[in-house]
Amino acid sequence: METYLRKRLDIIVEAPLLRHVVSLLEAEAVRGYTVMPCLSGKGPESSWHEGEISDAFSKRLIIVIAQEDQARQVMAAAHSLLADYSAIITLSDVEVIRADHF
Amino acid sequence: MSELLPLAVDNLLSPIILFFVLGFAAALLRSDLSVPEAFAKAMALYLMLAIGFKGGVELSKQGLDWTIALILLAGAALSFVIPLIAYTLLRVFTRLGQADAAAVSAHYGSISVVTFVAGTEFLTLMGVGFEGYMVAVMAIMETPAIVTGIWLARRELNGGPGPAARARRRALVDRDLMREIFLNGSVVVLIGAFVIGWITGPRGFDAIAPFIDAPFKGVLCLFLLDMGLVAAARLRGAKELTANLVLFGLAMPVIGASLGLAAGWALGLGQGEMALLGLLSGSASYIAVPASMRLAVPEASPGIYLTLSLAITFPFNLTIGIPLYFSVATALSSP
Repeated sequence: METYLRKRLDIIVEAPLLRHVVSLLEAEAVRGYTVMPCLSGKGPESSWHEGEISDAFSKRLIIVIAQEDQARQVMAAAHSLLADYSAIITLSDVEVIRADHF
Repeated sequence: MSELLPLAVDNLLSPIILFFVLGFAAALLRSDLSVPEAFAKAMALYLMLAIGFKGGVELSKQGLDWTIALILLAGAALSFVIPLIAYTLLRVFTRLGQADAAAVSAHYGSISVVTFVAGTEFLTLMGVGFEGYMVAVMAIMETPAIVTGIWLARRELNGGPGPAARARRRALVDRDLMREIFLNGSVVVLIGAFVIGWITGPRGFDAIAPFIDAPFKGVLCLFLLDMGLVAAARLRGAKELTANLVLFGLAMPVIGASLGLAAGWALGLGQGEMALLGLLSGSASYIAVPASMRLAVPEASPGIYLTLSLAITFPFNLTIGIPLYFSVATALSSP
């Protein structure tokens, strides 16, 4: 089976910032993205989990798969947007089957 | 005032407080008891819808009055001013920096809907009525404190974020933050249900009473069970609370409530309304404000502001504050 190399961008942000990240993806004209809830986790300073009364500390994972140029461009824009906030942005290699989708 | 102790005992032995204590104890003992998050959110929505609707119905019976505008104005002013006092106290008596002190102060200027609901249940227990417009006062007090808090956090002080960071954040925040502050879910449901209750009046109430009236106390008990679980979990994980901060979490509600009671007395409010205005002024937010602060003041630690409002001030108001403010309101309103 033939596969094609693409980049996968993972962005983990606090729920109140999700709307801003999604707006950024729309502005960058990415072809698609997926938003997922996160259950719990731990960072250098504190741990967190779903189930607080307020949504403010829930985390969301946004996955974007795109061509390398666009993925790097979105990564830079996301970094600029989220520089002051607690967030994780990673870029990795993936192989996709349907090249025309990404 | 001599009746404060029996009042406090009556309050402590009410089902809603006992369910809160149950949740609190269960979490401290590391029980696996939990309330599904989506269900807890639905309960919060239900409580706000019911209290908003009932307030609107009450207002439709009483009719509008210019004094109501004055009371609404007083509520907004309290919400604007209380963070300034809280911020000053935090800066003087604790070692909190500008951002943390500003974020905490915004929480204390805003209000807690559940504390208000528990207060109305206590008034019912005491056989004291209150005017429906107090729900509107509650809704209006939710947001001004956020504006004050953000202003306090962004003033140019030494050690604050640099100009570039400020500019970047301002661009992010100003575009949408105002919409999030003024159209956050709890404000929309409260005001919306209030207006619907006002439009439909007692006839509308009769039509949906089996949904919004009969199950209300039971739902409140279950919600407070969850609040107990969450508050104790917060307290157990609290690493950043110092003795002075805990003291602030206990003193600030009394200071805020004193201002609310004084304003209520100056406006000539009745016993129930005065007690509720005191309670609103003394309560601290843990739903609407954290979301705004996370966005507008990300360098402030939620481990401080959420733990203080949820695990220190909320239990204090629920158990001691409510009967305390009520007894002061009773003394002030007696001829």
